[in-house]
Amino acid sequence: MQRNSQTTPTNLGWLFSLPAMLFFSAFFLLPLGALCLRSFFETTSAGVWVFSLATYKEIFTDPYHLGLLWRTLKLSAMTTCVSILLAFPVALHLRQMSSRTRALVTLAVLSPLLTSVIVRTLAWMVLLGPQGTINRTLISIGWQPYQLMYNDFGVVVGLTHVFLGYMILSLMATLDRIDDNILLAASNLGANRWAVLWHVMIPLSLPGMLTGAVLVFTMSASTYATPVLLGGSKAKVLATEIYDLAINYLEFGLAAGMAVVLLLVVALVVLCVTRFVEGGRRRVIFE
Amino acid sequence: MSQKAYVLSGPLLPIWTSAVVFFLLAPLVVVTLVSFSPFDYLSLPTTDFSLKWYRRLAEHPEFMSGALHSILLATEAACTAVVLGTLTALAIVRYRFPFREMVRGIATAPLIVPMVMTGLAILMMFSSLNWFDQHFRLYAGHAILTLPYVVRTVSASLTGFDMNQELAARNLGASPFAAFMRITLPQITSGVFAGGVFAFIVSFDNVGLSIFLVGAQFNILPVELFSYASYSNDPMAAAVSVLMILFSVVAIALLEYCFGLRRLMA
Repeated sequence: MQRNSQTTPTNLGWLFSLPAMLFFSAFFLLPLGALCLRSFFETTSAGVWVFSLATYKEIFTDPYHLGLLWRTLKLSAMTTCVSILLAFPVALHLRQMSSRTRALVTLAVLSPLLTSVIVRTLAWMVLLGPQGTINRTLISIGWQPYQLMYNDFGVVVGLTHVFLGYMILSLMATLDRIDDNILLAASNLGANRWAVLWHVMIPLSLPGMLTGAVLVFTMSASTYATPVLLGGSKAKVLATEIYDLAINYLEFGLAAGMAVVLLLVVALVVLCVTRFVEGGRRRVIFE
Repeated sequence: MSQKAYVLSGPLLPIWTSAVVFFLLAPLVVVTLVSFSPFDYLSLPTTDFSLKWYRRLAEHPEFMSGALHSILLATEAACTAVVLGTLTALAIVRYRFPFREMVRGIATAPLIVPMVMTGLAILMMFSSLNWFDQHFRLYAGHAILTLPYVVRTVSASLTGFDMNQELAARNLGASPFAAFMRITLPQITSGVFAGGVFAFIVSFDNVGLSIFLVGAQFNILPVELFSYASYSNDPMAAAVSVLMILFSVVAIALLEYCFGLRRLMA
């Protein structure tokens, strides 16, 4: 429901959005459309473009490419879960802080979001590397060094660090809105703090949790730099493969196909979760 | 902020929050310390600190030119995004017109479409047109990427704006343009400015899209740093990082001072 009743039905709306839409048509919609088309065509030896599903056949039958898709989903899902686990208690704590501490902690939590992703990933290379801070410390106290980087672990740690702030923000937004009287009512009726948490707070914060999950999942699935630096050649994902194919092997058709697959995966997740959130809201309202 | 009536006490939450804050901030501290290392590998300096890696930066002019290019590009992209984005937000929030939802969808789509896909698509289109202007294709990509942030912040500040004020100005004889410039614009300035700052930061930080569009003639700082870090293992990258962190600290301090960070990120 639009609150603003004086919105005028004129052509000015068109006029105002025209410049942006022209710009987007030329440099966003057109290139994306061309890329999608390109993934359905290939050149014959005579140099003629013909319709073909060869690209998708290769992606969905070749175990290497399927493996990349699987790893992308796995790493993004792991990052999302770890972020929820880390962020929820923090958001819970932020909810009940005095406003001064709250401002300070919020600043501490958000300031990494404004530092370059590359800088933060580099910091983890310093910590997790074979010669890194953690391994040197382990060796100096007489332990064995661990492989902390160039594997899934390193990538998940790096991605979690990069995207955790978004999860905390999304959770804060819903946890702050929970009416304290509901929580007091639950606890007066005999629910202990875990029961209140499990039966009241978590269900009520679900929309924020899912919004955060969508953000973290989609951004993790399409991030390029962090998997390259912390995963190396051993933990390749779709985004890194797309770059390699296009820039190093000039396989534009295959790269385009994989980009389409990546978009579909991301879109599917967004769609499912938005449906779920909307469904959930409706249920809460009607119960 | 009023004190909550339902409070979870006990040491668990404070410990957890401290641990998470430590997890978030410790790497940045470590990278700062490492940049003062006298050694040739990534390590924490223990006894002596040195400015060696900062001095060595002089031997790598690509970082300096990258930084200048980044600032130029981020400024161009942010200005474009502010103008186009503010107009789009005005259209979406204040007018009813056919395809309004579609315009909204398109204007926010760059947040959902994976950056590698946008980057690849722009690269493929420019290449097929034999258009090899690296500066321009980066500009186009960054303007697209940053516009949604401006649309979002400006829409937010427009939604709270009472249109009657502008009607009052019109009734008192102001032209539509004058009413907008003197009544509406001053009140949404913080949204416009916040959108511009976000756009600048997003553009300045971007690798995922830029990596497809940079080239020898026009390279930018995060990509230079990324390529340096992927083949060498010395504290130089840490020194560049520290300078970039300093840059963000100044930016954050400015934002906090001018607007309050929390309000902007909400």
